Amino acid sequence: MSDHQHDHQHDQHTDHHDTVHHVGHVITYVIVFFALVVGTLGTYLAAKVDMGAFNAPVALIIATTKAFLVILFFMHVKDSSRLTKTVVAGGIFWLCILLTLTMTDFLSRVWH
Amino acid sequence: MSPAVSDVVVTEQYVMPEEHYINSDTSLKSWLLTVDHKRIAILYMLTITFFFFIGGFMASLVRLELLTPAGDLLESDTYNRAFSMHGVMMIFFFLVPSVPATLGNFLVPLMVGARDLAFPRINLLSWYIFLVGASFAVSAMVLGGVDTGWTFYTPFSTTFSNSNVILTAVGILIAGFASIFTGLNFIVTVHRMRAPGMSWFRLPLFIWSQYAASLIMVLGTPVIAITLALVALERGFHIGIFDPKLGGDPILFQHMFWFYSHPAVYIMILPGMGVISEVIPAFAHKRIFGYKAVAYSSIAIAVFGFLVWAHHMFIAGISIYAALVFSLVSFIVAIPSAIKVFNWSATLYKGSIRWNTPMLYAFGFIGLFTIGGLTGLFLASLGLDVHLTETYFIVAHFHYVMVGGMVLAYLCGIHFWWPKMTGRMYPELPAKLSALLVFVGFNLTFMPQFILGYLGMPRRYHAYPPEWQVFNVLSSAGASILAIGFLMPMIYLVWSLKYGKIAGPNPWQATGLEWETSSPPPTHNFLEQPIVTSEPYNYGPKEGEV
Amino acid sequence: MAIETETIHHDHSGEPGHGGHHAHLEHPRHQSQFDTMDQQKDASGLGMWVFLIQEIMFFGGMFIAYLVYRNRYFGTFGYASEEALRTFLGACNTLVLICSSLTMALAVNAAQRGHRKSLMRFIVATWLLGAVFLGIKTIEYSEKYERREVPGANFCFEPTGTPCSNVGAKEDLFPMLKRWAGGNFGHPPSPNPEVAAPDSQPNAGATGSESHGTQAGSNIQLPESSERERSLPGAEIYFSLYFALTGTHALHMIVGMGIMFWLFKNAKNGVYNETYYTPIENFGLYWHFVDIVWIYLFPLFYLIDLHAVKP
Repeated sequence: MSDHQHDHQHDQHTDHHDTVHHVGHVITYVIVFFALVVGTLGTYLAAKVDMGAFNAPVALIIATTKAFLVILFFMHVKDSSRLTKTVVAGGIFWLCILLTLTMTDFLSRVWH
Repeated sequence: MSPAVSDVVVTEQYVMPEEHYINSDTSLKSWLLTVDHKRIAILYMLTITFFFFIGGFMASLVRLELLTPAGDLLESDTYNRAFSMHGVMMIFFFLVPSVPATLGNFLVPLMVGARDLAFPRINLLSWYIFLVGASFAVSAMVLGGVDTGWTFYTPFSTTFSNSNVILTAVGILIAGFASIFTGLNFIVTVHRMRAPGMSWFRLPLFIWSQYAASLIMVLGTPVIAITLALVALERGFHIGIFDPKLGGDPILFQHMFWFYSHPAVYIMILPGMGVISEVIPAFAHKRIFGYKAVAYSSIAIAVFGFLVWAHHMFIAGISIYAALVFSLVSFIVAIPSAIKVFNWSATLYKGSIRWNTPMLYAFGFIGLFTIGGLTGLFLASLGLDVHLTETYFIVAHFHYVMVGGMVLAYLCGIHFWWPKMTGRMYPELPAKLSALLVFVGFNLTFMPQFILGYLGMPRRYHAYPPEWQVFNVLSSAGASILAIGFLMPMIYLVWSLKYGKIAGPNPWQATGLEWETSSPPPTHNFLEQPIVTSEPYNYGPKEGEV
Repeated sequence: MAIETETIHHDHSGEPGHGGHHAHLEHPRHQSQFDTMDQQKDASGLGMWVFLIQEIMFFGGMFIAYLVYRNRYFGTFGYASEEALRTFLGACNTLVLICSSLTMALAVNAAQRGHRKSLMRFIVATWLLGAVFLGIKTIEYSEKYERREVPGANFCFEPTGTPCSNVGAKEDLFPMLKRWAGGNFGHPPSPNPEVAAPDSQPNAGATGSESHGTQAGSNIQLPESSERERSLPGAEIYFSLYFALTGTHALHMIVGMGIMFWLFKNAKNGVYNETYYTPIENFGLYWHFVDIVWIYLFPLFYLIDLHAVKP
């Protein structure tokens, strides 16, 4: 909500994050797109290399980087209100609750 | 305190407003296609009342069977179906939508000073989705019911049960999305639709508790949806997810199930706490004690409620280290609930208390919820839980919270806001009588079950050793009193629709935006945009306070 | 609590461009419960995000199942992934989805700028890329069906890596659909009925009043095809999760592609312009979310361990 002042003289109805930089956005999208392509190729090639235990972490780190690029730029979270950011963080946090607390059980007992 | 405060609340002669949301258009189509949150609340109320009585009917079958030690009225299989359908109907089709979908739908926009919820069409859609889900569950019941209990534990539900698991599971899955949409609507409405001046700490505590419950609905319900979808898939197509024969782990199902279903008990109880937080100050005619503590405790319950689910699984074979953690956090979640109880009690202190029906229910709530909550602590203790779990102690515990807490809060709220919803007062004398019957009947039903559970009577059996009969007879006797207590409001509330005294805008002299518009409210709630200038629960002497 | 100030102050934003206090009421897309178009847009955006949180948890239920079984059947998951999934196709699909995310972002951009023609073009491009994705997915699915890697009674995944026999338990698609239509899920008719009979006995006897017709087939102990029993432990779970997750993901894409028809129609009729493009923007959020899910599914299913030793 902090960037509410930007568009007072321009247009009340359009979104306050996006009205300010039209052309810049297309370039941002294209740059992000190429970053995502590079990430995809990178993760594909990295998987071909035998890194032992590190294959999975590398793949997940690349995936998370890509996901954050999409969230921040394609989904405009970078320029969004604090509330939107809180909602996104909350969703990820709750997913982590589900994953970690369930794993506390499975990792601390013998199965079968 | 002021002399206006007395038991006889409506002393003036009021007339009904000329046009309000009920008479603005009376055609059936205008009801079925309405986007008015108040009408959708009424639709929901009628629907869940229906399911309440289906669930109640199943409960009476269970209590009738348990009158005698022998399994003579129902076969074991029929008995399994009776208690399962009781649980499914009551939990998923009555308790979860009860206060949010009826009172919440009705009151959230009124209380924040909005014309409607943020997404009225999604609100209507939610009711239709609920109907679709409910018809699945009802057809499952008509086709012979389900015998897994409301918990659908695998591998019984996926492999061995001979009942309509798929239909019921799909019904619950669908109804879950109705709940998600309700929660989504409330969250956005509270964030984005508040009237000018209605800051977060001027919101009624009912709104805080609805907001907290909405968080759980949005964050928890999808997990049960996908869990039940997987159960249905596994049962239908024998794919391997939870089946131990194919290498799966049934305990994973329990984790996923309780990830929703434990927080779901807070979906059920939080809105009830919100009702009590409104009623106690109104009838004590006193500002609520510790507003912020009560508000934050709602959020704390919603958050901590997500961290304790495995206390349902202490004997399921989970790791004892994980069980220790879950046990500890379960104790912590009791703290915010206790904060609320203390604050309500402190609000009563030196208040000028009026003994109207909503207040009777509220007193009942505080007492019974406290008993339910404290016995929950017994069950959170690892060692004691091994002795008490899967016995009638559990049954008594959650009925104390869900019926003694939630259903009483629901009835409390219905009576409190009945004049607002219909424009007419309910008759006070039969209402007080029914509140008394509910309280007595409830305790008679479930107090013996604590003893039975402690003595070791397991739940979900249709026969039991004869030495336990006396407690079971007491319990069944109480259940019949309880049933009368629940049936009475049906009669006098309907009666009041025509013959009740006209209430006027604010029969209780309560605070809150909903009391500042006419009863029943006009279609768009307020004739002019309300502006909030004062703190909430501004009871008592006005001058010098604000 | 900074967030509320905006809602409260929306009244004094003054509508300078429209010369009049009630100008916002004249917007054809304004809904009566909102005071201003700004409030309406904010509310819709927040609603969409809350919906996406719900989606995260919906997929989360399957991700925790994946995590648990991935730990339990570490080697099997890697082995099954290496044997059965074609990494190249997965990588292609990832690229296709990333492209569709780009076109979707550009569609939102075009809508914000009021470029009707290019909005329509980008919606079509996004739709086509979605179709390509689903096409490749169909190839993968049918391959798995042929190789009996679809979980269920037909499932077979030989530990030796040799292909499963194509005789016996395998059932063609059409008879299978017919069987399902008759309410008979679960298992194909046994080629050898005498084997099935003794298995079903103990269960059927356990309860008195049962089987009201709807699920008559599902309560019977299955005569397992021996190939299914011989299959690598945990492999069926891997494929169940693969189909559950990618299937739910594909379902989201199909729903999205359906919504795109509606968006395209509206875009064609000039509904969206600089003052009103919320549906496009919210749909963009949905589409990007579906993309993110795939960004995780690709490494988790296709790449997890291409160097796994046979368990």
